[in-house]
This record gives sequence, C-alpha cells and structure tokens, in this order.
Amino acid sequence: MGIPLSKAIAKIFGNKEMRILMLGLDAAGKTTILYKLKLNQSVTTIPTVGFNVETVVYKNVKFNVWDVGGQDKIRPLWRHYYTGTQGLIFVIDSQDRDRIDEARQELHRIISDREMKDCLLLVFANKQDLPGAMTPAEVTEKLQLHTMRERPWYVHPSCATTGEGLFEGLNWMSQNVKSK
Amino acid sequence: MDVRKHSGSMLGGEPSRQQTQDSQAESSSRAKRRQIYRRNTYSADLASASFYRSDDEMELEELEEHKRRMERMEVLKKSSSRRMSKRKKDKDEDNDRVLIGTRIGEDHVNYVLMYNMLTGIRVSVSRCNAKPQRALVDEDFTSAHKLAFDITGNELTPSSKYDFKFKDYAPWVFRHLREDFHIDASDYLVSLTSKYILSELGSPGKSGSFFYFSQDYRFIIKTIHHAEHKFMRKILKDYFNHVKQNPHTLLCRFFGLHRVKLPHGRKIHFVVMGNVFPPNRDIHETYDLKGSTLGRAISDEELNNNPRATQKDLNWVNRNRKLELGPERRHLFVEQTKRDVELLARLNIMDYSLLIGIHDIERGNKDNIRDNTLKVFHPDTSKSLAREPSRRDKRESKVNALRMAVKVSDPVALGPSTLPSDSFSERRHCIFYADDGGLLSTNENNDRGEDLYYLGIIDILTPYNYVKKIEHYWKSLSQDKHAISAVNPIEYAQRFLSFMIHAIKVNHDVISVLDKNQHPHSE
Repeated sequence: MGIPLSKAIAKIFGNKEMRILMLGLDAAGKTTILYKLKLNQSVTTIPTVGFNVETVVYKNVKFNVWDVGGQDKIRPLWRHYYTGTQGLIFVIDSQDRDRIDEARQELHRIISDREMKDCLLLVFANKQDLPGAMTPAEVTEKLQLHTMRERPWYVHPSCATTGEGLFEGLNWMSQNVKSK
Repeated sequence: MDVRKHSGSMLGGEPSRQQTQDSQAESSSRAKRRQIYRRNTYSADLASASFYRSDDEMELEELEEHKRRMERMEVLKKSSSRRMSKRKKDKDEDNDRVLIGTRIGEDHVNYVLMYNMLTGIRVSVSRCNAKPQRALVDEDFTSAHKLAFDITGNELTPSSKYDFKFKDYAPWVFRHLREDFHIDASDYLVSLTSKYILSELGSPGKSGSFFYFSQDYRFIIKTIHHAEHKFMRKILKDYFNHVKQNPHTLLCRFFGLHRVKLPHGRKIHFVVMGNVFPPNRDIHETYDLKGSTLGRAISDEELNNNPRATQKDLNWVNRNRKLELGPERRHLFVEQTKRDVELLARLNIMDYSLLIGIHDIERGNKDNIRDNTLKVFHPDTSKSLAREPSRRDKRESKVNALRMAVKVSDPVALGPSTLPSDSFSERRHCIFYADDGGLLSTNENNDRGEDLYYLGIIDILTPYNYVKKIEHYWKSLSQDKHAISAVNPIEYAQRFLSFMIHAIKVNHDVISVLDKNQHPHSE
C-alpha cells in the first residue's frame, strides 16, 4: 500500500527515481565515488568482489547507485545488472593510459547490449588530481565516444577523494533522464 | 583515524534492516498455512513456471546460439585441412543439443528454479563479499537475510526475470568457510552464477534430493529437506569450529545455505557444496561405504549394465577391493577419519558414507567417461568467444586437449573435454586432495602407486532421530542389529571407522586406533 502512495506524492512534487549502474575497470575508483556521494567521506575501500548499492538523493532525484566490482575475472557478471538501468556511470582511471583501450572495449561491449540501449552514459574521467591524468577531451577521444550518435553521453572530470565533479555528473543525469 | 572507523562501520553494519524484516516474516500462522500448501504445489509450480519464459529471452538465446555457430564455422573453415580436429568439433556441436544427463537449459522444467537459485546466490554472496572481511560474532551463526526479487528490482536487488523470494543463511559464516577452504570469491561467483546452465544429475536420489553441478563440475547444489536444513543450522557452529581445527577434514565442504520460494510455491532449501570428484580425470569405480553390510550391495546385473554405478560395502568386500595407502598416508587418513567421525558422533549424526572415487592412472582418460558417458556438461563456448584473455586460455587448452587425444600415446592424456584440464587450486591445500585433486595410492615405501583416490565423507545431515530409531528397532527384529545401517551414532561411528581401517590393504599399524577408541555399546 505504501509504495503507490509514495509514488503518487513523488509525482506531485516532481521527485524522480533513477537506477544507476556504475562500472569500469578495477581500481578506477567506483566504490570511492559511491561512498563519497553517499557519506561525503573518503573511505578506505577494498577491491569489490560483488557489489555495493546505495541510495543518494540529490536535487529531488533519488539515485539508486549500483557499484559492481571491475576485476577482469568477474566482468562476465556485469550483464546480470543491466536490466532496468537508466543511467550508466563508467569510471575511468585517467592516469592509467595503458588500460584505456581495455576500458574502451569493455564500455562498447556494455552499451551494445540490448538491455542497455536506452540508458544514458556518464563517463567520469576520475583521478584528475594525479599527475599526467588524461583530460576529458582525451578520454572522449580514446573511448571513441563520437561514434555514438543515438545515445546521450557526457564526460566529466572528477576526483573521487575530494568529491570534485561528482554531483555535476549526477546533475547531468537528472536533467537528461526521460521522465516516465 | 576517526573518520575511517566510522565509515568502516557504515560499510559493514548495514544488514540490520534486513534482519528485522526476517523475524517478522516468520509469523507462525503464515508458516502453518504454507505447510498445508507445501505438499501439493511443488510440481505444479515448476511446470507452470516454465511458461513464464519471455519470448524475447528465447530470441536472444537463439541469436546468441546463431552467432556462436557462425563463429565456430569460421574457425572450422580455417582449420579444414586438419580433418581430425574438425570431426572433433562437429561432435562437440552435437553435444550442445543431445545431452543425456540433463542439462538445464531454458527448456528444462526446473529452469526457473535454477535461475532463481543462481540469481539469489549471486546477489547474496556479492553483497556480503563486497564488504571488508571481519571477525565472526555469535549472531552470525543464526542470522538470515531475506531478499525479494522481481522484474523491476528494488533498492537491494537487481531486476530478475521471475518473481521469487530468497533467504540467505549465515552469510558471514559461509564466507569464512569458503575462505578457510581457499575458495576464491570471484571463482565462486563466476563458476556458479555467471551463466544459467547447470546440469542435473539423473533422478533424485533415495533422499528425494536434486543435485545440480556447476558447469565446471566444481560445485554441487543439493536440495535438502526442511529437517536437514534446521539440523544444519543447529550444527553450523560445531561444523565451523571443526573445520577451523581440521583444515584437512574429509567432511563434506559446505559453502552456502539458502532457500528460494516461488510465488505461491513451497520453500525449497538447498546447500552449495564442493564436489569430491575432479573435472579433469575419469572416475573408473565409485563406492559409497557406510560400514554397514546388510543389504549394502548393488546386483551384478546392475553393475553389468553400468560398470560405473556406485557400488556399496558388500561389493567392496566381495571384490576384495583395498585402499593402497603406505604408512604415511594411512596414518593421516585414519587419524583424520577418526576425528571427523568423532565430531559426527558427538553431534548425534549417522547414516553418512565415505565416498570413494578411483581413477586408474594407467587407464587414464582414454575412455573419455566424463564426456561420453555422462554428457551432462554444456560446453561453454560463447563465453570463451566473448572475452579475449580467457578466450586465449580456453582455445589453447582445447587445442592441447585435442592434440593429446590424437596422440593417445600418453595414457593420462586429456580427452577433448570442455571441462577444466586442471584440478582446482583450492584443493592443493588439503593433503587428501593435493595430488592433482586427489590422493595418490602409495606402497609400503611410500612410493607412488597406480590409483588416484577421491575421498569424502558425505550425507552428514541425518541425525539419529525417532524415524531412524524406529527403523533400527523394526529392522533389528528380523536382522542382525549391528549390521543394519540405522544404529546409534556412537556405534555407527565405530563401525564406520573400523570398516575404513579394514578397507586399507596393510593396516597393522593403524588398527590400534580402534582399541583406543572403544566405547561401551549402548545396547
């Protein structure tokens, strides 16, 4: 009973809910981003085998964010989280030039999945505080995002430990999500 | 410092929300009502559940299948000069379709049940394992977390094709157990839950349980009765402590305890266990030994029809089979068996067996039993084509396997099996599984022999309760009350240990264990 009522209220007051899937190679900073968003703290994380999920409310939008572990071995499990995803946050370690190509392959594999055909794509060019970090433009080019014509995408620089850029990214998500 | 501490507790302490849900859900009136339903709804549910399958999903599978076939065709074209390998691959493709042992693809009646089991395991294990490891507390042994799955998903669960409820028991305890048994968490998740294809072992056993193997033959899912489930939760702490103190235990390895419930269906309890048998070697003979002799035999006829049928105590005795273990190994084996059955006796458990699989090294894998006789495995080709690093590994091992099979000169050569060609890494850590996943027979000089044994004490969830007591009294009216399988746990343990010691070829230096172990018979 409670759910329809709260949905009704949400409609009146314009609250939105968004299901976000956060993926990326291991050690890109996904879990750090999640808990920075949730707790506004820079937490000590362990490599995620499995997933963390948290709800973050920002500007009247309830973001249900799924942070799924990115180690090579467990990437085959990603697809089990695709269904119902409205926004994909793909996190890049901007300093890791060696693996940007691997990241591109993974990204294109994800978004070519049927289940992901309507979802928004936000790329965090993370770890901007590190020396030699790739710029958002560089990341855009390396990920070949210009080849994506149908899909709304956006690359934003971020630094998970300080939180810079994170909410700007969510802001873009909330403005571009199709209201149901 | 302070900040870290705080955030740590945020990361680790979140399941309380679920716990409270749980206890409420267990209100007794509902439980009662379900109990009435339970008996009649099972088969109907499973049958109707298979209709839920959406057409989209089938289309996707077909597409995938088509793509897979096309890609394989490409490979075949390239290597058409190598006729041998081509023929082998064609055969593989046939295996995709004609499987004797039941592969649970989407068309299988138990597909929905299996899908729900695996989805539940993936989500619950993923939740627990993402958190930093911590020490156990008493509540961990009794905790249970409930998850509700549906098509939209919610704040705790991802979307699932079917509606169902899932309950995860003592997740932290099993996480510790998996680590104690050296199971890598990502291996566990991927091998068990990355694809929804398992194989079902024939018909349900005497107990009415169903068995499902993970694709790589590494893990077994077994459905258990509610009574066994309750009993398992009762003994979990003792079991856990025993494993801690006995890293080389021969007892069945439990990695998870869960429950699924389909809408309007009954609750199905199940455990995840380690498979005693290896993926990389044919088992030429299988024995299930209890130490009881009465009626413990399969007929010659049965054995002739299926030479690899599981044989029992009397077959073992009549065929004069012996475990060939040199002094070193038999001491280890007897000592560990003694400790293990002592625990079982203390926990009032009986009716367990020593499962023995024998691999004759000289015979090797040339009979190709696992591929040709069992055929329960779905070759997992699509995954190997999708991902490059793993693809290279797979191909290479496949090529090697083929090469070896063609050669045949090496009797231990691998068949063109799609199963892993090595034993799993966790087995190295147990002395009884350290020789390529098993225990190598040895002679009196401790030099290697001709057999590889795969040993494990299985079916350890039967307490000596009133049912077994009645069985004991009933059977003892007409038969030798010490030979029937239902006897009290202390006698059972003693008889079991004695039988195993006598099953060793040379046992003069271990037989004394029995004297030291003498307990007065209770009858």
